[in-house]
Amino acid sequence: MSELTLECRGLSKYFGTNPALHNLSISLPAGKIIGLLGPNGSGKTTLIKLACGLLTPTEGEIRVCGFKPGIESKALVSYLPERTYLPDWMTVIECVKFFQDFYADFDYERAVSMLQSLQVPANARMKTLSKGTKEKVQLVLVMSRRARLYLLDEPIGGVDPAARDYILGTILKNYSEEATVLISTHLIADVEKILDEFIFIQNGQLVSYASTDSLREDLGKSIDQYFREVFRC
Amino acid sequence: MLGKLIKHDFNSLSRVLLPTQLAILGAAILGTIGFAINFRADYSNVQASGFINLIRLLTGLMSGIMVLAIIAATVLVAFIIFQRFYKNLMCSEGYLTFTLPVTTSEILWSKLITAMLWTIISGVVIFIGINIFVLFGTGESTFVNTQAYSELGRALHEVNLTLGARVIWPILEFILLMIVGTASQILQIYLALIIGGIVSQKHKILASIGFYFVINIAVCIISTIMQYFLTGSMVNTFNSFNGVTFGENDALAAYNYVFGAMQPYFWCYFAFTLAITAAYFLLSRYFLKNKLNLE
Repeated sequence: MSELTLECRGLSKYFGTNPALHNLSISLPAGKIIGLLGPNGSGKTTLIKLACGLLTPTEGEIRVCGFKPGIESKALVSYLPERTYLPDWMTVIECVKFFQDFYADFDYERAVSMLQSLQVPANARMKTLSKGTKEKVQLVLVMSRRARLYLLDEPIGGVDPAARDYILGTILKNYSEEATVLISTHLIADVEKILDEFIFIQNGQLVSYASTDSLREDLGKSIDQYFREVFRC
Repeated sequence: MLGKLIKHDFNSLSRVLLPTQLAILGAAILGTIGFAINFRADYSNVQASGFINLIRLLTGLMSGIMVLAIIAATVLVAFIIFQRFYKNLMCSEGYLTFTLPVTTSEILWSKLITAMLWTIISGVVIFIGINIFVLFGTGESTFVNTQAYSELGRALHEVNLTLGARVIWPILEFILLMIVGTASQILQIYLALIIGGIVSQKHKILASIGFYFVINIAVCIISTIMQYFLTGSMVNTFNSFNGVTFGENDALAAYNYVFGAMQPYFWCYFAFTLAITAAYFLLSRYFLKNKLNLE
């Protein structure tokens, strides 16, 4: 099995003639929490969806732990989309059981205890929950797996600051040495403290990929400051 | 994994479809009551009066409405099956379905098998409804009418006497064709929904309806070509029946002759339907695997 968790080679994705990603090559190691950062429409979500197999690349290839998107890669990837994707007629606990049914690496006890901590009613139907609560349920499900690659697309956008802290704490606590967490977000200041590395992308191309520590040591800047400089409007 | 997918898909359909089946049974019972009263009012010796006429009108209307309700419920079953497919694969829920560690084939098989199961369940429920109607709705003077069943039993007995157990073959062939034909119908709509959902970003349903007709036309052209070759030979077969005579009690020989002559055509048609069904499945899988672009 490959040491690299996520590998893109010459990856391009066009929607019609619009390039969402253009000739992107990047390799992400295991054991890191990485921020995927960039302005709106820079291709963050496209990259994540390509890694999940929800989109098919126009050119180039993408591999997860050496596997092209398929049944093997899907068993290793835990994906949190930026939208609500759980069937709205299911109850929270039914969703938990659904995940347990399909994912061999799912930890039922962990999911139930996290839902309790976040005070999510287990027997409520998804459609009766607020948007923020739905997001909490999805995040709990995704983080209750012992996956190799976590792809979190805007995981904290819709939840309150208190839950945000709990969620970031959960991410830190739950990921293991061989796992990689890729977080796409606009709320850089909030996630900055847990990031080991960060990726800046713009117009579907890589702008920079560096470690948070080197940025701090070499330039004496936080990611948030650096982001505002690089992507100044 | 296929078992888990089927279990989940079946549950998700049952939740909505179970009530429609209860509605079909309920409508069958109410329709039967309406018809029974109406029917007996006709045969009773009570003098026609305003009241009796009103009863006739109301009960006649009642059984008519119930027949419409059963038809509506059947259409609803089909609609829900395809709506679940569309929502589960081509909309937000597709984000979950397509990130599960299952193959595209397993997803399609699960959707096909659960749709077939519910088509069969729905058929059985309607069959039960018809039997309720025959038993309790059609008696002239008795509450329960078993006449139809004894007639049927007698007919089957006679068939069995003359033809014996071999009569099972045409029945089995018919069932086989029904199963493959149903699968073909379901997969054709699935394929149209998939292509429509992939091609169009804004008007997916409209595009799907368009592709349904495109697929239909394509299949029509192919089947017309096939019929062109078969028709000539079929006419010859039918012509060969002319002049062949059987004795009055020789039903078995007549059956053997006609059934034997029809066999090649049945299997041709069956193979054609099976090939079309397989093509729908493989095309659906190809598009989901290689062209899927969930916006």
